Order: sequence, then C-alpha cells, then structure tokens
Amino acid sequence: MVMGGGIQQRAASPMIRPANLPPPGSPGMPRPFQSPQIQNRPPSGQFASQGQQTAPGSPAINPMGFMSGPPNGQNRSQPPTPRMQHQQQQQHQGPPTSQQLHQQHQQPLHQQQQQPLHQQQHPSQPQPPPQFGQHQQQQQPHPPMGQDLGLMAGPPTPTPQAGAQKSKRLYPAGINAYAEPPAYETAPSSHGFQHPGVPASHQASGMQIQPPAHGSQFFVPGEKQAPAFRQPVPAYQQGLQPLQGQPVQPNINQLAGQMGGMNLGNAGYGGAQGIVPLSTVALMGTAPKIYDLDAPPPPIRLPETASITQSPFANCDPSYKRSTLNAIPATSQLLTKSRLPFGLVITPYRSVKEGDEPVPVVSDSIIARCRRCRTYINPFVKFVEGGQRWKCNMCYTLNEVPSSFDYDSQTQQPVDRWQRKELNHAVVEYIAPTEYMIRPPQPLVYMFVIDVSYPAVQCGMVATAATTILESLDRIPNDEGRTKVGIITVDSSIHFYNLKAASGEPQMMVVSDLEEAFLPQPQDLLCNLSECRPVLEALLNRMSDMFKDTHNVGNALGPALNSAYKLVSPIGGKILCLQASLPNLETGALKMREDPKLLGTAKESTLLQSASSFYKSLAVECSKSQVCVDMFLFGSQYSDVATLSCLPRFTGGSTFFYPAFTAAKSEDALKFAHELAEFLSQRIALEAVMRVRASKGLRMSAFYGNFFVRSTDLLSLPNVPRDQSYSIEVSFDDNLSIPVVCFQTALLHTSSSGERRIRVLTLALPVTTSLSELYASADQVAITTLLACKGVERGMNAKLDDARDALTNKVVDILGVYKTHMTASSSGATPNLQICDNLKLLPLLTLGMLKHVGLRGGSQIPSDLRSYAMHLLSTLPSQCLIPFLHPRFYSLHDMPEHCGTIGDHGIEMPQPMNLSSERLSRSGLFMLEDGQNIFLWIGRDAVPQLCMDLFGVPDYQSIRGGKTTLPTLETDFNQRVNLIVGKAREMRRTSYYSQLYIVKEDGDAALRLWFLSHLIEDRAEPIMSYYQYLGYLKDRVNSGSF
Amino acid sequence: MVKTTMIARVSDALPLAASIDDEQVEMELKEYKSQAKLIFRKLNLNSEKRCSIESGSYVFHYIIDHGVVYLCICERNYPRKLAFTYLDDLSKEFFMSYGNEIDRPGLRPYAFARFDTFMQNTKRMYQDTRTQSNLTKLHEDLQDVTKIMTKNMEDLLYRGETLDNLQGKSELLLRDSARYRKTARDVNLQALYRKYGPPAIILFVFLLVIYWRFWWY
Repeated sequence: MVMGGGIQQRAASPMIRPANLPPPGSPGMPRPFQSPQIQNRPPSGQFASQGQQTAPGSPAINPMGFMSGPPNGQNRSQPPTPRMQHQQQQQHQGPPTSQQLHQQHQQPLHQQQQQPLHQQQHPSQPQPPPQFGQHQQQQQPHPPMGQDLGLMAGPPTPTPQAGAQKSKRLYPAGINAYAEPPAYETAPSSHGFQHPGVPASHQASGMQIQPPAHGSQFFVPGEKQAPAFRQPVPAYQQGLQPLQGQPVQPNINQLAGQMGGMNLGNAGYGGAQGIVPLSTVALMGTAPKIYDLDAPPPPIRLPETASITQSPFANCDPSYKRSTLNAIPATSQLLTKSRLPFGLVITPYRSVKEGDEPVPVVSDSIIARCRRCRTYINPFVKFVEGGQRWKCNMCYTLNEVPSSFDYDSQTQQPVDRWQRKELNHAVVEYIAPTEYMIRPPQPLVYMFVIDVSYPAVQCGMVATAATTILESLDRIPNDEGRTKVGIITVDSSIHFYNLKAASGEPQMMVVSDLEEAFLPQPQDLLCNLSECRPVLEALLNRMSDMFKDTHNVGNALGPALNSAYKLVSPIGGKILCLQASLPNLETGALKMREDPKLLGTAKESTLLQSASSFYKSLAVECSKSQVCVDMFLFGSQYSDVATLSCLPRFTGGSTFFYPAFTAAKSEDALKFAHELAEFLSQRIALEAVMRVRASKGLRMSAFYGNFFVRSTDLLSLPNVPRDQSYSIEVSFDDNLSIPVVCFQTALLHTSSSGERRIRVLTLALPVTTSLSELYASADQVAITTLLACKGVERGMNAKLDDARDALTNKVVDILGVYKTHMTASSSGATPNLQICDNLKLLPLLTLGMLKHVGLRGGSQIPSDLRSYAMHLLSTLPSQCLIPFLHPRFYSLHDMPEHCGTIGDHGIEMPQPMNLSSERLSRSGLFMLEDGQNIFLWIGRDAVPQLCMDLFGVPDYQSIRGGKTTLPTLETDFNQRVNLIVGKAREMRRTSYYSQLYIVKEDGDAALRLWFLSHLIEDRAEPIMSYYQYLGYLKDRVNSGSF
Repeated sequence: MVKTTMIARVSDALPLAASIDDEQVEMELKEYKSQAKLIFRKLNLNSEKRCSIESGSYVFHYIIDHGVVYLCICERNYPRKLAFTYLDDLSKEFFMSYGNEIDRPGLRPYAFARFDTFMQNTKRMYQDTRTQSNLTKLHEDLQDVTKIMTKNMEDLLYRGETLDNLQGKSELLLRDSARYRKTARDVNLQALYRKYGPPAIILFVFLLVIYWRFWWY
C-alpha cells in the first residue's frame, strides 16, 4: 500500500521540478537546484553509515539526535535554556511513541519560527542561548553528513570561511535554513539574518508557499525557495524514505498526521526492516497466482532526490533493462547469504510499437562524459560548484559541464539545461560526432545465400523465399538509397549473379571449384538495391523455375559462406542463409550425427555442441569485419541446428528453424514468409558495440546472448536485431558504501538510416543492507530470464541433468534462506513452503524451465528442436520468454461476452487459466499459446453448434486436427476466436509468427502429447507435477540441504 | 587509379561523405587516410584552391569549391589531369545535389554518405586511364594542371614540427651557454689563484718575518 502511493507520488511529481528557475548561465544559478540534494543527502548518508557501523536502535542513531529539536511545545511561548532542552531530550531518549514523533517533527518548525524572530529581536546578539544549544545538537548528525557530502553532493560549506565566502552564491533556496546550520554561527551577517527571516514569515502566514515578494530585496533568487521547500514534501507522503524527513517542513502538521498512521518514525530510524512491506505467502495448497506473471517488477525505491530532475522517465523502463534485484545488497556477503542471482537483463534495441514512447534523441552532438570512467551524463549525476561541474555517479570524479548546456552559441541564446533530454530520460540516443566513427557509417547490406539443392527445391523453400524476398523489397529499409543486395545460390557449386548486367537480364556465373572458391568478377555481385531493382526482380521471379528440375543433392555451404563473406566483409552487413539440407561438401561439411541412443543420456550435450570448428572460426572472422549471419533452417530431416546456429550466436544474428517444412502446406509457407518479411523489414542497428558500466565496486562477470565478447567487457554486435535480449551477471569487487548504484549501458551503433548513434540506458537502484528489503525487491521475471540463460549455458557445456539440478538447487537455496532468515520458523520442519509475495511464481517458472523442450529430460526430443529452443531461451526478451516457459491458457467456449471484441485496450483477451489438465473439459474449446505456437484444444464432446460456429463443419468428427488456419465465417463466435488468435500473434514485441494447431482430444497422439506437455502443473513423466515439485522443494528445504 | 575519395567541409573539417573501400584498400591506406584528415584540419578558406600533395607512393589531390574540399588519394603514376577532372565532376554533382544543405547548422558527420553511389560510379569511369573517353580527357586542355602546385606531405605535416625543433634547440643552446659562462668564470678564477697564490703567500711570510725580526721588539 505504501509502495503504491509512493510510485504514484513519484509519477505525479513533475510539478516539483524546479521550473521557475532563473535563466541558466547567471552566476548564482545552479546552486539552488542542489538544495534538495543537500537537504536530503544527510539522511541517506546517515542511513548508510547506520547500517554498517551501528546496530539498529543503538543510541548513536537515536532519532532525537537527528531531529535536533526541543521535544515539546514549550518554546513556543518561551525559549528554554540549553540545559533544559538537554534534559528534556534525554527524557525522551527511550523508544519514541508516535505522539512524540509528532512532536518531534513539529518541533523544528517552532525552532524555525523562533529562531529568526529571536534574531530579529536581538540583532546585536548573534547567538542567543537557545539557538546555540540547538546547533550543538544539530551538528551532531552532521559530521557523517559532511563526509558524505564531500563524497557525493558537492561543496558542503563545511568550514566557516567557505560558508562565508560562498554564502552569496549558495544562499538562496533556503538551504541554510535547515541543512547548513553552521552558517548561522559562522556568518551571522546580513545574509545569516535575512535568510531565515523569509521562511519564517512564510510559515507564520499559514505555511503557504508562495514566492516572497519581499524576499527578493535581499537576495535575488528568492523565488527559488518555492521548489526548495516543496521538494521534500513527497518524501513524507511517500513514506519510502522517511529518513528524508527533515526537521523543517512547511506543512508539517498535515504530514505529521500521516506519519502517525504509517508508523514511519520507527521504520525509518530503527533500520530498514519496516520500510519495505515483505509479505510472506505460503506456496502449497493453492494454485499459483498466474495473474502476477504480467505484474510489473517490484518498485525501485530510490531516495526522492537520487535523480536531479523529477522526470518520470529518469529511471530506465524495465522493458529496456531490468535487474534481478531492485535493491542492491551493500556487501557481497549479503548477496551470498541471500543466494539470489544478481544480474541484468538488457533489451537495448527493443522495437517501439504504436503507443510506445519513442526514444528521445539528443541531436546537438554535445556529449558530456566522465573523463575517468567514460560514463555518459545521466539523471543521477550531481551538479556541484554552482553548476559549473558535475560529479559522475559511477566513479565520483568531477567533470566540467559543457558550456553549451547553458548557452547555445549558434543562436546566442541562453538555454535551460534542465530541459536537456539526457538529464530527464534514462533512455536516450545521441547522434555521435566524428570521434565515434573510424569510417563512414556503413550502408545496410543484405547478402542472401540460398540453398538450391534437391531437398530445398523439393520442399518449396526456394520458391517461397524468392517470392517473399521479391515482395519485401519495398520494405527493406532504404532511406538513403544506399542499401545493397546480393544473391548467391548454392548446391554442389556456387552460383553468383551479376545484378547490373547491361542487358537488363541477370547473369549467372557458376563457380564449381570449391577448394578455392573465387569471386568471378570484382563488382556488381553486390549491388545498390535502387539501381539493380529491375534485374533483381527478374532474377527472383525466375528463381523458382531455374532449379525446379534439379537433382543435385550436394550442398557446399562452407565455401558459399566464405565467398559471401569475401563480398560483404569490406562493408560489413548481413548474410542471410536459407538452408534446407545438411551441408555435405568441402569445408563446413556436416554429418548426420543424430543418434537416438544418445538422447536422454549424459552424452546428449555433445549433440548440442558445434560439430565443426569451421563455423565458429568463420563467426569470429565475421564479427571482426562487422558481418552478421542469420540462419533460416528448414529441416525435413536432421539439419544440425546446434552447429549452424553457432554463426548467429557469435555475430549477433538470429536463427529461425522450421522443422518438417513443406511449402505445400500453406501454414508452413505463411509462417516462413511472414517471419522472413518481418525480419527483412526490421530497422536493425549495424556495426555496434555495447558496454555496461556500473558504479564502483560492481563488475560485469558473465555475458549471455548472441554477440562476441571482444575485450573483457566490450560486446561486439555486427548487427543488433530488434527485441533480442542479453543477460549479464554482475559480481562484487568491493563492498558498496553508497546509497544508490547505477548501471549504464551504452550501445554505439549505426542506425539503418545511416546515422551513427549512441543509445544510453541508465538504471539506478538503491543499496540496502537488509536481507528483507533484498528479498522484497527481487524480480522473479528477471531472475527467471537470467536463470534460463545460465541453464542453457550449463546444458550445452556440461550435462542437461546438471543444468536441471542447478536450477532446482537455486530455488531450494532461495527458499531455504528465506525460511531461515525471514520467517518465524527459522529451523526445523515446517508444514508449508513460504516465500515473499514477489517471488511466489519462481518455483512455477523454474518448473516451466525444467519441463521446457530446451531442458526437459527424456529421449523423445530431437536435438534440433532442443538446440532451437535453447537458442530462444537465451535470446528472447522477458516479455516473450515468460509465456514461452509458462504458456497462456484460455478457455474459449465459456469466455465472457466482451472477450474477443475490440474494447478500450484493443482486443479483449479472456482470463488466462492455470496450466493444468483439470481445467480441460470434454465439451470445451481451449486455447494455449506460448509465443511460438497456438493450440486450439477441442474436447471429444464438443457440441455440434460449436463446431458449426467455429469451423463450419457439422460435428466433431469432421474437424481436421493438426496445423491449420481458422476459417473466417460469418458467425460471431468464429470472428471473436479469430480476433483472439490474431491478438495472440501480435501482442508481443517479436517477429515470430505463431503457428496454429488444432488438437482433438482423441486425435493424433503425438500432437496431443505435445499439447499436454505444455500443461506444466501436471505430472509428466518423469518430471513432477507442480504440487509434487513443491513437496520436493519443501523436503529439501526442511532437511536443510541448501 | 583513384583509391579513395573524401569530401569534407572546409570551415570545421566535418566529413560529409567518403567512398567505402574494399578491405585491401582500407588496410593499405589506413595511414594515408589519417594524413588526409590532418590535411582537412589544416585547410582553411584561404588555402590554395587546388593542390597535389605527395606522400610515399601515393598522391593526394584536392580541390576546394564553395567551402567544400574534395580530396582523392591516387597512385603516383595516375595522371594528374584525370584526377582533377574527376574531382571537378564530383564537385559539380555534389554542389548541385546538396549545395544548399552544406552550411546547415547541426549537420551530422557523413550526412551525405549516400553520395557514395555517385562516387563509385564516377570512379569506375576514371578507373582505366586508357579508355577512349579518358584519353580524350587527357588530351583536351580542360585543365591547366601545370600551374597546380605540388607539395610534399612531409613539408606540409612536419613544417610546424621543425620550427618547434628549432626553438627547442635554441633554448637548449641558450641554457648551455649560460652554464658555460659560469663554469668559465670559475675556471678563470681558479687559474688566477693557482698562478698568483704561492708567490703571494711567500711574500706574506717573508714580510711577516721581516716585521717580526725588526719591529717586534
């Protein structure tokens, strides 16, 4: 509850942005913006030191010292002497009641009212006794603050001289009123007096915040006080960071009421225990609450002033980058203790669909970066020294702020730096200047390598591919008219095509010397798309006829890829390889190595590893010259996906696999055509490198996804396809002593419109010392994504058994630690299995992984399918991976009326159900979709009316099972189901096109089993059902074997 | 033959377009391309409008037209006349296509990379020096190439450096001579002591003896 409020508050807080600031560039300008930081920094510093140095609740961190005020209302009438104050305080040093807390929070207000009044009454007496007493106490919490400020928040005016010298500039914004008490003592000059006078008069007049007209006669930026005073208010309402509760609050009365209700005082100062609501749920005995699969990750509870702008976009959207832990443990011991995996899931180049926020672009090529760690400026840096410099939030180096942040030299106008996109958005793109290019931005290059051997022609792949490419020529990105296209066909010899022949007819050149494949002519094999369009069209039109009578079963993929590489490597680009037979000639020849005897044994992983070193070494070569290889594999028989997917894996490409493809089946052809067309029309990024930087103390230790790791942490991606996800494991170098940790991903790339750009994603996360907060902030979806990658890696390199055991062990560890440290029953057996609310689906998702084609045991799964599933598991973004592991299951025969109609949010989908065959009924119609396939399950006793309405056939017997397309009928039910199927195909950011299968209850046994294998809550030999699995986990946890 | 072509804005050396070369050329010309970038940075609107610069086994030819510099790197034996005709062709086409966009503020680097297509085609026309059209161009008096200045890359690049060297050396000389002067004075003084020291001491002792002998009592 508290959390939700906080988030709303945060989202609604843009009004807090210091909008009414003086024009930047004026000398005294930037300081006021710092005021929030300075005000709020002490609490966070206090917080950190508190966690590390002192036990919670010890006197050193007694709230009183911090609150620093006489604890009762007496001084409203007459200021007590210092000694009196002291005594009163000591009386209250016990655990404060909420009433006391009220008073304490009100107290500072009185001080504020009193203090200036007093000073005005005795102008000749700069330090009246009461104030003096206060200051001593106020100073007590200050040393840590001073330290902290030195580290993070700029010039804290620690010494009297500095304070006096700088007071002119630093003065406004009411900083001194409560954040810099030493200023009263050291600079009781006109500033010292006047300044507190202003807020006092405000508060006296009913705490209304308004720009003081009279304030400006003493110091010009008087208006700035408004934001400064309003700023901290949300901190109270939010209740997330109660430490920020500074003594002086304008509308404290009202807030204090809320405080009592929320019991925040305790939570804030007594340690982090109470801050985060950690609701423990029991897992056993109830069906998993699958609605939460789509729930957003746990909120990121950053200090209110972590970001310098109050933009709602200041932190990274989880669809671009999410962390498995939304609160970072302060020490590696804490992380080890919690057993939670720590990593990032990054989808830097996700597609932006209609209604999504486009990525803002900084086009003036002013790129401010830290000179030490090369971090890009982001919303979490701090401006110091009056805004002249900024402090990097990763390494804390001071850097100059570029003058163009405040002054536009071209228009000769001052500009508002707070409007800059990089300070307001966590996801931005810069247009890179010349320093970021070693050569002109490369054009898009598409080199097609098409298999035209007998099996490929026979299954209709060549014809379908030619038609699809022909139809997609207009959709290939070609903004600047630079896109180049080339075609190579290959059987037992390599065929090149001159696409610029004078005659206007394509000219074919056959190279049959495979040992030393050479390019038959130096140019025109790779041609500008706009220029060679007619010839290309003529070639593609003819291609299906050219090879239709071939009986050549040889395929020399290796030499063909080498030639394609030679053609493309000077520029860099994409090689699309459409392969329907196993390469069997010269280098890169592969053998049929599928052996059913190996399946299900420990040696199975050898089938999942690459069989030929040729592909890996070619991939490394390709990666060097910015060439990306994509594989479209069509297997009527074994096609060694494991070896061939090596090329895409190291070059940032994608693999598509169509088992048992025949173009005669229109569904197969449609799926392939749709995916190829989508793939060609994707606006991809080229010649990219990606690097993730993190705050000092953290290190990226392992990388999962399709790329090549060039140096220790530089990922080289010749192409960045849309919606491909990369997982990165993070480890500790050092313990963290900072309140906020930042992760910044920079993707330097060339967009498909030929611009060199840098996409920067900044994610800031709070640091915690409490195990409960760590657990409450764990993101089960991101954890699953990371674990899937790790499982796949393990399964490929070691044994699948190991991978599965590792996954289960991880869950047991997490559950066990949770039970020991977070629940009352720390030792001994418990009847139920407990975990916090935000991790409650982790066992279910893990079970989904264990039962997934990619990792499931058993000897039934061909290695091709398994390799492909593994490829998907390690590259799908979370949004698609979760349904892939835990399919969506809908009941269609009894869905409510509004489902399948177009509502406020597009097409309304029915409620998803638990994946259990209990839900199936004999007369029902059910749909199950996992992003790759859609199954329509129809029960044996389906009423004829349903068959009639949906399929247009009289009864159940006449329905044909298997791969199919739903007919389009005039009936309402048919239209609704068609809409739902259509929505299921396009509701995620992916270019995969789900194939529709109709499963009859008594139909094809293999298909039925396949469908049933998706119902992961059921028992499927040899893997347990969900409840059995929970029981197994419980036994492991209870026996303490973690 | 023309190896590579680069187009840049003179005022700030912002690259506008460049030809995309195959890997072999890229490897060969790595060093020369960085030299070309240096040339871009040294040029200003008052530089010579046409010039050839020799460097190693290659020659850089450039022309400046409407604030844009067109530079190509050719082999030494490639006729200068053809090279400059090629650059003229480029400049005409470039100015016609993008002339009004050149001075737009906030132009990104390689904004006109699409000009590459035209460059590739034109380059191919000039590839072989013996085709009829190229021979005609050679014989026509389109360009008076003899007047175009030829410079040496080393001169161009290292002129500043020699000046720096000279200054450094003279400073060194100054320092050395000061030290020499000091040492010389010391040595002179020592020689003086050595020469007149012993007689002076003897004289002093003698006088002391005389004084002691005759005036003491």
